[in-house]
Amino acid sequence: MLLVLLALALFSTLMLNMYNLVLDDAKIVYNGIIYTQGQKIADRYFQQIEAELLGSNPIKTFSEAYTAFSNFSSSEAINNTTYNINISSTYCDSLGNISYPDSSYMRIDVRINCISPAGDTLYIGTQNSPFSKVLFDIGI
Amino acid sequence: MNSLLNTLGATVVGSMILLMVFGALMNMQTLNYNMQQQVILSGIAENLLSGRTIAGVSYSGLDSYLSKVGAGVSASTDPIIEAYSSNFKFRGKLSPYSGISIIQIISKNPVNGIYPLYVYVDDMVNPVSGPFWLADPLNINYYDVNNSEIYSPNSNHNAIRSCKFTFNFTFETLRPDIDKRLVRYPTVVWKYFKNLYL
Repeated sequence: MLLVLLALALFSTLMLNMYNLVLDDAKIVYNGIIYTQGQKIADRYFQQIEAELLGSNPIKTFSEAYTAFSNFSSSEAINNTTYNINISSTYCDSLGNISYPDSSYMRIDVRINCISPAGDTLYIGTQNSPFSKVLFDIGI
Repeated sequence: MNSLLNTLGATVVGSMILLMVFGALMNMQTLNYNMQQQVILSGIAENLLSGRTIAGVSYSGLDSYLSKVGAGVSASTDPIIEAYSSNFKFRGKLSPYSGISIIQIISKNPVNGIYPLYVYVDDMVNPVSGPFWLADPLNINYYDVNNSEIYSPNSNHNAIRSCKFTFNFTFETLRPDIDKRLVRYPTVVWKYFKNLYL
């Protein structure tokens, strides 16, 4: 009888550990959905900036776009998760380096963070590794 | 007598342990299955959105179709045919060498409580993609040049410059009573129609 009770205690520990591992896996899968959504938000702003620069009478000139996104913050609530968005624009060279800036080139950096339903803070594009795009003023 | 009682007690407790172990294994199996379905559903949804290549044949995604809104359409023709919350129909050239196509993205009436999503190109009877199953109808929001939402989009085609598409893809769960999180892939995509800015 004692042996059976000992077995019960041991199996319970094993089961708890296995559950924990499965739930960790689930967290990775569900956080992946949030990371993917964050990339789509970054893409939305890149699209917006590019579209507004288009045409012979653009919505924004190159310098206006630079000013509008030099220190832009916003938030977007999607599926009960609030994404905090920070965008910065920097004049740069054709490779995106800011050491020798040229006002014909602009690098847009997007950083997003949010708190997952599991309570983790997720960083989707960070200070050191933001989502970046280099734009060139073709002067049309 | 003592050893008989011990044996009976051990049998009862042992049976309970076995039941607990099998129950726990079943639960974990279901959680794993649902996670696997979640990963597959996410993959299918992303393939629909961004396109995929099967056996060397490329299939366009919604992103590619939506980038053609108004492409090659003359100024005298309305590039947008229908603009509703679950139905977007528009004109555009799919390639520089093709004629102008009519493309429709629509979620239709529910079947057993879930909504089929279809993509049609020119042939409005046989879809090029679909059905993909949505837990909620496709929801499209339309925005003007100032990124302000247009609340009667089908009466204001000229004002439309971008859209926000809200999808909630779904799969049946193996055992919804075990894993309360239903297999869903909710995602939101935006598309700025660059041809309409030119």
